[in-house]
Amino acid sequence: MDRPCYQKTRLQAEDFSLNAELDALAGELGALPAVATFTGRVRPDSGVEELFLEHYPGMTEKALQQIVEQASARWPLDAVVLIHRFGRLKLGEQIVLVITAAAHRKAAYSANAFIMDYLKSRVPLWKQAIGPDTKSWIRATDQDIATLKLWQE
Amino acid sequence: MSLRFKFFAQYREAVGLAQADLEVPSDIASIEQLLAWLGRHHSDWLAVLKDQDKLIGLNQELVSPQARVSAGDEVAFLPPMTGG
Repeated sequence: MDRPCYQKTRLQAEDFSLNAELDALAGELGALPAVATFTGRVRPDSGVEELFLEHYPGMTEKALQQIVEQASARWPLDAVVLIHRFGRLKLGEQIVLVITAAAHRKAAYSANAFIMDYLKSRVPLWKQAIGPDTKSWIRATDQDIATLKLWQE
Repeated sequence: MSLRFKFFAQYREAVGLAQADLEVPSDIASIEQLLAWLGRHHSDWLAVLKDQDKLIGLNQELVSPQARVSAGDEVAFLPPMTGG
């Protein structure tokens, strides 16, 4: 019989550990046949020393949860873990973690990519690039908007 | 009726406010009508109101301009999002 999809969503200032999350999943569900993981880090762009990630307390958590639910409705997933950080992050620090587990790799891969694409333009999070003496809000790219449309076709 | 407005990221900086409570005429029924009224009465918010790319949150859900507004609602001005 199908068991319900295990879902965990967190919005936090603190760092996270991929291994700790995988161990927690294994503890909860046992050995999973196909697991895809994605970790996003602060990109080393020129002139940037740090990122500040602003969120909308309440709405951001809700929007993350909604994306996880959409992915679970669309693919036959055993588990989804989505962790996003906010606040000040230095170059190379982890920002986001997506773990998707399913019976077969295709669902795990697709759901993982879907969650990241939706995250970029449907969750209230805004990145500000901080340099030695500059601060600027990062603009949403047309590419991100176009990618989102592909999932809606 | 009273509404709570919230501004985020570059919008917060543009209007110099994170949050404001405002009395608006109670015959305003939709987000579209609310934005038009704000445009006439809040020139200090024009930088945000004029941005074609803005998204609107109503009680912490993304909505279209046709969404209905009622007393006590929380209306948020959200710049295009850049998480992930």
